[in-house]
Amino acid sequence: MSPVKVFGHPMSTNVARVLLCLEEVGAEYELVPVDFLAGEHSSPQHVQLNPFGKIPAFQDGELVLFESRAIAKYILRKYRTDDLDLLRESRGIEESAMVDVWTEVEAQQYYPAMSPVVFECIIYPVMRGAATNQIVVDESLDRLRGVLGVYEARLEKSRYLAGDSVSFADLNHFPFTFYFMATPYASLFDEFPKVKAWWEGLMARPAVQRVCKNMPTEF
Amino acid sequence: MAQTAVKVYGWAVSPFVARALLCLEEAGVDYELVPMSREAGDHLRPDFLARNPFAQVPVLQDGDLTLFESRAIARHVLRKHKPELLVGDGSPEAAALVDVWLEVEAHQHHPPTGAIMVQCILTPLLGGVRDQAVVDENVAKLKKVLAVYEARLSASRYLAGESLTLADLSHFPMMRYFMETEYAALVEELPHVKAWWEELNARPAARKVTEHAVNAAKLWALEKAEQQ
Repeated sequence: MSPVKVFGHPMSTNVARVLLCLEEVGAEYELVPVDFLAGEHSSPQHVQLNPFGKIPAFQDGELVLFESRAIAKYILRKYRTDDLDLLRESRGIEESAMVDVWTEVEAQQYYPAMSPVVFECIIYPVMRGAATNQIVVDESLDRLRGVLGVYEARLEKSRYLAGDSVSFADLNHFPFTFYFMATPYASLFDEFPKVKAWWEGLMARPAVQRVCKNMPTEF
Repeated sequence: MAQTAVKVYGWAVSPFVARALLCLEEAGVDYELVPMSREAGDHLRPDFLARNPFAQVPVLQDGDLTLFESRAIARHVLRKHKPELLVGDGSPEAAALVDVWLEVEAHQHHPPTGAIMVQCILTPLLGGVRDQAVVDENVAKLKKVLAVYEARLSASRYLAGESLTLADLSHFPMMRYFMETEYAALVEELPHVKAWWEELNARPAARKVTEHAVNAAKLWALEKAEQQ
């Protein structure tokens, strides 16, 4: 079986999402670099793999996929064992539904509240030399505080977001939260002890540690 | 197996509620739509927050299971009642392609389509003035996105392959509103996207969901008129 291929850059949050899943299941993979700073994601070659010209793209034999969450699910299914079912698809309808709910929550509630802070404090200054828009940051922090309040209540009742053990729903939070912790606003998590403990638990996972190695913390 | 009641909480004019209803209709599941009023703040009441702490519609109650996030609800309904719409022939490749185009809907199609819909339909309805700069920016984005759809639908009958799946259906609710704006031309000028849209819109389940939304909108307009 030849290793699967991921096309992208390990610094990219969406690439990191895929790499984390590969590391969690212990799959053999090859990371093919795409120099997005040089615009390589828009090259005809890359667009053949991802018609939206984004990273990551993914290849397993003849199969080409894009969209990091779709790629991640494919990987988690392919390498699923009785002991390792991060999507819970073999555990019954209710459990897989909860994974879906909290996966959507990451994409539709958590990410929109958190990502502007990461964009304003890190991504725009680094990539465009732009100044931080503090109004956007402050509005986002307010919104994020509300979201984290919901997470705190959830994690008081449930060890992980979708149930008693870690799932894809939890792992999806890693990439952007990692960068959020490199902004001046990391201490927001101190206001939410359950959330903070949950995050620290994720960071302690060996697979997360391996993926972190290729993600900068200083900019 | 005992038939447990399925309830959907929300307002039928919401494209997110429509997504849930569409899947229930496609799967032929009996359900009750429990109407809520956004204006009355029903979504902010403690009993609703106990169902969805993010205070958004829809919520699906399926026996003991309470779900929120319309895309998660959609997956659950089809996984339970019509899995071929979620996983195709069940092969890893088929399921993956459905997931790909579901993510494309959420992350490439929805943002510009939703923004245009908010500016052109929702904002004026709520007494505001559209921000044309926002519209123009999103029209430019959507053009690029739809070009990819045109290429895809020229090579494949439906987004995830030769059969209709949730990947196609998930586009219906937002597109139904988008096609009421003057920017419908963006779809109409692309023959494969246009044909795909028309087929979606003609499905009985889609007609039913639109009927719910149109009736709810009429009722809302009547109530507004009576208040004046």
